[in-house]
Formats: sequence, structure tokens, C-alpha cells
Amino acid sequence: MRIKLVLLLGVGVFLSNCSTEDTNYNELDKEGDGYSFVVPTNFPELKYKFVNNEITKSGVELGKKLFHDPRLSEDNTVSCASCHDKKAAFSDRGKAFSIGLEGQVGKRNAPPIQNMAFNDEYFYDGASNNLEMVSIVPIHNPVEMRETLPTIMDKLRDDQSYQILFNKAYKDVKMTTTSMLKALAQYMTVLVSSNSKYDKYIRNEPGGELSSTELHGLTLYRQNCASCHATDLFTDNSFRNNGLRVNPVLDDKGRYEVTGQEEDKYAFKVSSLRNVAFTEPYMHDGRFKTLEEVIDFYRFSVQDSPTLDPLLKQSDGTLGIQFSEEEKKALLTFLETLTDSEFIDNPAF
Amino acid sequence: MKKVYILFLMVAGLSFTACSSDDNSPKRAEELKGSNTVTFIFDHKMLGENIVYDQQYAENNNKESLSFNFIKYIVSNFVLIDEEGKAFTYDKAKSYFIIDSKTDDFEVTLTNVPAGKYRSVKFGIGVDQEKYLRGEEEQQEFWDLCSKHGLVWSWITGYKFINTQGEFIVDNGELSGFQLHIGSHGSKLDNYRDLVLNTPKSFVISDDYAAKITVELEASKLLDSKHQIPLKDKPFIMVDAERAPMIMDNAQTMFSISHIEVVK
Repeated sequence: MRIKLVLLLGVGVFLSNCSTEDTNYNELDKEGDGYSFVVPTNFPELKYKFVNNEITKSGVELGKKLFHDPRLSEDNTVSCASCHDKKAAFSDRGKAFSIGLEGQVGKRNAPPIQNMAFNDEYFYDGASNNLEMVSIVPIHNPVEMRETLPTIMDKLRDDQSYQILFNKAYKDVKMTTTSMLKALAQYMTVLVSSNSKYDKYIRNEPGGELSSTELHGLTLYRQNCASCHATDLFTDNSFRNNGLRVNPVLDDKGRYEVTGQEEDKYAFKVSSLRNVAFTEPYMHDGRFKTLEEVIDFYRFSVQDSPTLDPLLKQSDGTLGIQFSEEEKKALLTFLETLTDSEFIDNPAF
Repeated sequence: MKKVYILFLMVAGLSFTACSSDDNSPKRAEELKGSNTVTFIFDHKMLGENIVYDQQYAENNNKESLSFNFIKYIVSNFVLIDEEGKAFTYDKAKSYFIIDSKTDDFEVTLTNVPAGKYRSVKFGIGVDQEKYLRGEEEQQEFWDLCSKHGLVWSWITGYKFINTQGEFIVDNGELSGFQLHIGSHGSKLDNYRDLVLNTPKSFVISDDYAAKITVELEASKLLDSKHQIPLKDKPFIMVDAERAPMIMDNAQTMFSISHIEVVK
């Protein structure tokens, strides 16, 4: 189903003028603040629908400012952007584990932030299923930002530029944590990556010509990868055990830590393949430095276990996915077509 | 201020005071006017007695002697049902409350309850998924409050519906600690529960009559009721897909209304 959703605030203002007699200047002030959020035609339906959080330019601007503000951490050194770098599709390129407060190290690789509004389960383990609550997790995490929401607000309240933005976006002169988390959610929703060479190919747009090797890779992807890295989001947003050898030191049980259910042991969120050339190292613990290593893992190193995803058990009993060297190269070439430079270089983000 | 105590164990009394009771009771339902406040007071018991925290109690059916350091939980979504079965649902946005023995928070106050003769009370333990997924709009104030009371998880964005800890004596007579943090498990397991408490006799609410309802909580039932949950098998129960739902089932059975005070 293809939906083009354009949220035009002008319409909202017009309607509310009909139902209320007096026009207050705040509403007029919002005119021109509408943000048109366009769902790419090759994408599935939106999951986050901006209920009680109408998207506005000022809301996005506020979210962007907060995202880059180290005052969201206890000692004012770590911002969201510290580990979610725009130049790496908002991942932490080159680091298996990100460095948090006081040089502390976490246990999972910082995932890219893109196409968040098309998902409703966040983090490798689904620790949150509410985009507006997502930011709480790294803020509270003792090795990431170790800060509390009320303290952040105390720090920001004296800042005049925030006073203006909170008021403009949410008419919130008190500057509440509610508005802060909503604005961060808005900013994350606009980080849509949908203009890679592959997207242009699918939408028959200029610049979407794929080479024969890339097309071969696309066919291999569709045959072997697309059941999990599904749709043009390149993930089905499910949690699966892909057969990685368990690191005994970390013993990260993944989704099980959220659900407590045996079937979820060692299951992790299926990562999107979008911009994958920018987000190494790979897997939840960043154990693979290159995409070649990742494909070789699926070829040779998938480990059996009670929760191994059945899609990685072939009918003849072999584990993993078989690719020849030549197929691997085609696949790697195809994965490059998922790079979205317009996203990486977008000055608005 | 005249206080009328209605005691529910007066079974015999009910039949032959029925007429005079009706006369005494303020008015017929349709004549009751306005609205008033209903206050719930959560009264924590252990084996039928007023609970003393940090005190070891007699063995339960799991052959374990328990003490509690504190008991904290969320109660929510209050509904009052009148004699005709008509339900008054309290404004959802305001219908989330924290009970915390550590901070002496034991009261839930519902304001502007419409006049009527009410017979039962329905409420939930914890936070329902619908509320959670509504996002920040109504939630944040309550989230911040829960955060202060230790009723949110730190590594997942969810509420702890019940947070309690204490000591228990294992077979060899040694004290060990236990901790129960029970909530929903992301989108996978909804542990929210609700329950209905009937009042053997209806109570009146109107401009002239408010009510104070004492809800007893029998703490022993948390581990020893519908399900037997021995702590020696697992003393720290946090995200446990097997035990968390059983503890919530048990929690459903631990409340009862002990008396209602009509406040004139």
C-alpha cells in the first residue's frame, strides 16, 4: 500500500479558525511552521503517526538542538550526536562500542538512526516500543549519559534560545520534559533515508541505473536476505538469533533481557541494510569490521542453538546461507547502492 | 461531621434492617444530586495483621518466612459501578496512582464522582499498554513521579507495576534477600491486570455524602495464592516471563474492601 502523507499545518489552522471564534496570535504565529512529512512511495506505512505531536518546523528544530546538546548528560560532555554521527547515518562509525560518560564503554554497537517513524520497536532488544520514550534509555543509562530528565530541564531553562523554541513549538513556557521528548521524537522522524541509488532504481527515477553486477546482487539479496531484511526499509523490524557465537564475557542475551522468554534468548533486532557502507563495524556488538566478514559469517560461521532462526537452517541441515565468492562480490556491490548520500549530506539534519 | 460506619460482616443485620436502612440512607438513587469525593485508603496487612516492615513472619505454604522492607505499586483506571450496573469511569488521564509504603503514600482520591449508589469498584494494577502507547502527552508527569518512587525500569522504557523487597528464611535458617520488580515486558508480554471488588452493601455519593473506602492488601498472597512461588527457586524476579505473570495473578487476589466510611 502506498500512501503519500503530507501534513500541512496551514489546513489545521484554517479548520481551527472555523471552530473557534477568536483567533489568538499564537496560532497565527504557527502559520508557516508546518512541516510536510512525505512518505516515500516505495516505503511501507508509517508506524509513528504524530498523534498529540503534530510535526512542525520549530519542533524539528528544537529536537535537532536537543540532539546535539551535551547538557543532556550528567557532566555536559555527551550528546546524542556524540555516538550518532550524521556523517555515518547517525551511527558511531569505527567503534564497536561507543564511549559514554567518563570514558565508560557500553556493551552494544550504536545503531544508525534512520527511518525511525516506520518502526515501532527500538533498540537491539526492543527496550522501547514508543518513539517518544526512546531518548529516556540513553539518558538514564549509567555508562551513556547518566542524567535525569528534571535535571536536564533545570539546565536548559535559563537558555533563552530554548525558551523561544519550546514556546514556539509547544507553547510551553514552563519547558517540560514532555515537550523535550516529543521534540526529540520529531527530529528522529524526519531522518528519513530514501534516496539511495537503489530507491531511484525502484522508483524509476534518474540516477537509478544499476549495473549488471548490482542487479545480480539485487537478485541474490531478494533470494537470500529479503525475508529478514524485508521491504524497502531493509528490515522487518523483528528480533532474531542469527547464529552469532555468544561472547562469554558479555553474554548479551538480547531480546530475552526485555521479555524474559526463552525463545528470545540471543535474538537481536534485524538491522537495516540502508547506508550499511557507512556504519561499520557490524552486528549488535560490532564484532565484524567489514561487510565481507559479515557475508563470510553467514556463509561459514553460523552457530546452531535452540533459538537459532529457522530461516538460517537449510533443508539439507547446513547452517547459514551459501554464496560463491563471485556472488559475495555481487552482493557487496549491491549493498553499496543502498548508500544515500543525500541523507548523509543533508544540511537540514 | 457525622460518620456512618457500614460493616460488611453484619450479614444477619442486613435482612431485617433493610427497610430502615433504606430510610436511613440518604435518598433514593434518582434523588441523589451533585458529586463528591471517593477516597481509597490502602491498608497493608501481613497474615491478617497490620504489616510491620522488616519483621519476619510465620512460614507460608512455600515453607518460607518472609519480611518486607517496602511495598510499592501502581493502581490505575478506577471505575465505580452502581446498583444498576452502570459504570462511572474516572478520567483516564488522572486515573494513575502510586502506593508506596516507604513514602507513606497510601491514598487514592477520586474527585467529582457523580451522585449514585455504588456497589463495586474496578481498578488495575500497573499501567495498561494503551496508556503507555499514548506517548508523552499524558504520561510524562506520571513517569517522572514513578521515577522518583523507583517504579520505572532503567534499561527498558516501561513501568514497574510492583516493586517490593525483603528477606526470607531458607531451609537452613539463613536470611536471604529477595526483590520483585514486576511490569510489562516491552510489547511482548502485557502484565497489566485489573480486578473488581464488590461491596456487600452499596454506598452513597452525592453533594452531601463522600466516601472513604479502606482497601486491604494481604501481602502474603503475592507469593502464596493462586500460584505458589517459592523464593528459594529464584529470589530476584525482574524480567521473568514465567513468574511475573503469576505474581500479577496473585496480586489480583490480594485486595479486598474491609470497610467504607460515609462522610457527611
